[in-house]
Amino acid sequence: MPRRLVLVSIVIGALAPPLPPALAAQGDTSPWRSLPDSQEAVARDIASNLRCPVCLNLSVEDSPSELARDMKQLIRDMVADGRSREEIRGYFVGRYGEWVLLTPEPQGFNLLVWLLPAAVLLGGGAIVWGAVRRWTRSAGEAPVAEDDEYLRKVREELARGSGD
Amino acid sequence: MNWRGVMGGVAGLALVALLAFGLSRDPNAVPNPLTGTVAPAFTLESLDGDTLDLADYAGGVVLLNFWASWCLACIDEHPLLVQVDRVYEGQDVHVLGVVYQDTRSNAQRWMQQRGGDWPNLLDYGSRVAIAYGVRGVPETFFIGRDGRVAFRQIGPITPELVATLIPRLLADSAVTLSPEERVGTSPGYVRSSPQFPETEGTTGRR
Repeated sequence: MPRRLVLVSIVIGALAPPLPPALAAQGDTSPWRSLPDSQEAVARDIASNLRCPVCLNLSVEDSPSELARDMKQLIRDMVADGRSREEIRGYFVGRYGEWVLLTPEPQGFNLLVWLLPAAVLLGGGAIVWGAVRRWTRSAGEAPVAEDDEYLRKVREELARGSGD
Repeated sequence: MNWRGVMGGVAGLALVALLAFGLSRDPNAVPNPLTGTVAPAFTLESLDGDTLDLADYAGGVVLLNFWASWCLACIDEHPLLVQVDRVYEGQDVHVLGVVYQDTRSNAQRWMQQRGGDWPNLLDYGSRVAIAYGVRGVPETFFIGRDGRVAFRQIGPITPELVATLIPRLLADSAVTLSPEERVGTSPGYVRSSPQFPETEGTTGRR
């Protein structure tokens, strides 16, 4: 019986949405203000597209660092105050630089990030296609030119030999 | 003319050029959008319970120093801050500390152990740290008499930096340094704080 209870609680625990840390510990004063679902989604989306300044390859949404947690809180407050997505992103870019955006704005030099992979893929594909065509075409051709001097000599000797 | 060879050579050269450009840049170089702009205003509570505003120091030179008790490099730079505070006393140069991701009691104890009587402010929710684009501690913002951020030191301040910059900031109301004028390195620059108890810490969990 206890084992089944443990299994059931594990399943329920795994399926339940994660509680904010403070709620889990205290329960009365939560630093995470509860937002309507739509705002929650917007805040999460914005945080997912900002780079955590501490854990550089994680988004603010995913990073466990304290600074990321504070940034998330700030984002939630800004969303609740009615700031737009562009305003919020602009705020962080103004503080940390463009680098804080996980997906760079497609303008100026950053366009290279968007265009170069596609260009390289197309260019590489064209090269491979051309090479394959060349290889398959030459497979059907005679391997030796007709006016090869040594081939002619060999044929002459063969003809002489067979006439003996 | 072997066109394929030429094209391959050109493409290879272009790739090498791109890599040379990219790899020769310092990945740890921190963009500093705030330099030259007006220092973000704030009002915070000090360790002693007073309320302080950055505007209270308008017209003077401010060394806004972000630090934490868990930060080893902050221990290194602290004697220099004590010295600056003493040497420039009465000259309108103000050291202002901002406690980053720490608790009031830790910060108070740390200051008592190491001396220095400038105000230290508790940055709840790291709002001021985020407003200044702080990525870790220690970081010091030199704010000129015009209220603009003249320089941002990432890592501990150095005697050379202090000796060259503060007199310039005192003499000139508008000073901006180029990256070439930066002096000092940043050893022991710590980004991440340890876990704090649910209450009392400055990070978003008052």
